[in-house]
Amino acid sequence: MADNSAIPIIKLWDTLLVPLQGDIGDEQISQLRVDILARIERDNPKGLVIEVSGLEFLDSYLCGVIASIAAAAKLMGVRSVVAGLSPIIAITLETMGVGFGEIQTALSLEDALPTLGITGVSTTKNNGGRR
Amino acid sequence: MNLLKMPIESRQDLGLIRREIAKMTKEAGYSPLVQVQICTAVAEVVRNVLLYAGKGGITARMRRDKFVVEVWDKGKGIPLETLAELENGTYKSKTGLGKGINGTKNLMDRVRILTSPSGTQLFMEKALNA
Repeated sequence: MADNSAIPIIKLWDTLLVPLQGDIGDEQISQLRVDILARIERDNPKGLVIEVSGLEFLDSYLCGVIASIAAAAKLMGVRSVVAGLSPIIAITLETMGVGFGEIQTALSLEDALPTLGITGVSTTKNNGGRR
Repeated sequence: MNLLKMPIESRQDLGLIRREIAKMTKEAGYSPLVQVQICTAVAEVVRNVLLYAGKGGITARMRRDKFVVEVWDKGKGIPLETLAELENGTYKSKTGLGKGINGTKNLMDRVRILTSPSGTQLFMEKALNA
């Protein structure tokens, strides 16, 4: 259920990570735009990942706001990636002919981070991969 | 719930309506994809009421094997030229919202718009087993 609580903005090394979950209200997303740009000014990140795998719903207005957040971030010198669009929401947006414009998208958070220069190092445990 | 009847007066109403539509379409047996498509279509038209007319109302119900939605407002109506462009899918608003209405037509089986200088009514429906 949507409420008016602030959406978290998580600093992950040089990247800001914003997980969007559930049913996001108009006021929450408007506030998020202000909050993200303030955090960009404060934290000076290299990238912004908007992670949407937990979103229940995305209409053309919310898409437009996400695109405008990314465009404003770009003006401030920060690259944005939208990650984790669910198949249902992807099909719905495609059916409507709505997209994120020129914003880069990624299948998942794991795929988004390397595009912003963050790479993981795999470690192998000597227990057959099981804990 | 068999019938949803609500005023459209604020952005909070948009969230309430969307959640009720989600509940109704789930109970009616629509697939998760179609539930989201109907909710999105409703959100687009309700938002247009808020943006262009300010206030209006919505009714939604299952009628036999179709989910039927009616949205109305008492705004100034849609200009004929715009209506024609909406009909043939060539409408492009400066704000990009035309995509929302064109998209609604793609999401639903049928969308019908009646407009006059004293208001607009929009009917749309989606069959259960399309």
